[in-house]
Amino acid sequence: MTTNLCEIKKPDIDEWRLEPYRMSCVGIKHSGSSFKIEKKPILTRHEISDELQRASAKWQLALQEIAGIISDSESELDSEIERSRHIIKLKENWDGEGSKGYKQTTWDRAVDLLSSKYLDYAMSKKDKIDIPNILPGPDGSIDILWSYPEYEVLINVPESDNKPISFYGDNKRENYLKGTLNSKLEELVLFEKIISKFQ
Amino acid sequence: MSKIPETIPDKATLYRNIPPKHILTDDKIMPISFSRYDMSTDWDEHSTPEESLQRHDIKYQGGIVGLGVSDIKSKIQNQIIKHTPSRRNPAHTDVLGEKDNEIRLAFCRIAKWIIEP
Repeated sequence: MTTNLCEIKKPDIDEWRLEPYRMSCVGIKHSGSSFKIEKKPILTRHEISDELQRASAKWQLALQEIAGIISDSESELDSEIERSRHIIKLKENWDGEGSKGYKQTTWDRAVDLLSSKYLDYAMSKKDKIDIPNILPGPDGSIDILWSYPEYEVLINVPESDNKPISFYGDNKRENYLKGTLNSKLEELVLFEKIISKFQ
Repeated sequence: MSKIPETIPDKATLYRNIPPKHILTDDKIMPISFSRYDMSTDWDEHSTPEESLQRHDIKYQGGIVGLGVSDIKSKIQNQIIKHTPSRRNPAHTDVLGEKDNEIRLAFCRIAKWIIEP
């Protein structure tokens, strides 16, 4: 259909609101002295309204699901953190093997790695995360252990702030990762591996 | 009983007591159990698992795991197995070497419960 520009009538917005007539999608292409108007039916007001409602419901469900996953993960991680709080009460030779006691600052460093960095990263992925065990480690250090059928990861948070956090993880086959956490990038690489279960 | 160190064959098993506080609720062993440079064990040639357990104070007796010498040699790097007998414990054997995260996890994997918690 070809017409002059003056023939184009912009639909009155009030009229559109009131009248359930079929709207037209108007595309205008300039072609010499005339304009080509391409009409493409879209939706009636009611159809638009229904579509919006459906989309909105889907979004709400998706958001609820994500919120639920994050909330579950956060709650499970919080439980493990609380359970591990007893570590800082362990005194010299608590196990009969001559192991050292633990400092609050070491436990805080381990918890910070999990509750802010690991959880934040997992939330950005919008996925349920595997919860590790927070355990007493050698020489006053704290171990963080993910022991799952598909993979295992051991992070060691040393007692001294001057020493780097070290880690080893693998999928019990050929795929492994080993090193120290000296930068945010290294943390992200490790967390990505954990969330992907070392696949 | 001999106090002379002997060569330990690959087919041998080394017993190690796991303290109760090193055992997780699902009977998994914490990696701290295998972290000492000089890790004490008992050679099965000179000790039963029960004798090995009873060498420890009762409050530190959790259970006994067996570590296969061939597993240690083939799956774990840089560890030396040295029979270090004493009059009190002719079975005493040290597993010597640095034990980083990888090695501690490897020991957890090869350890098999012989006397369960």
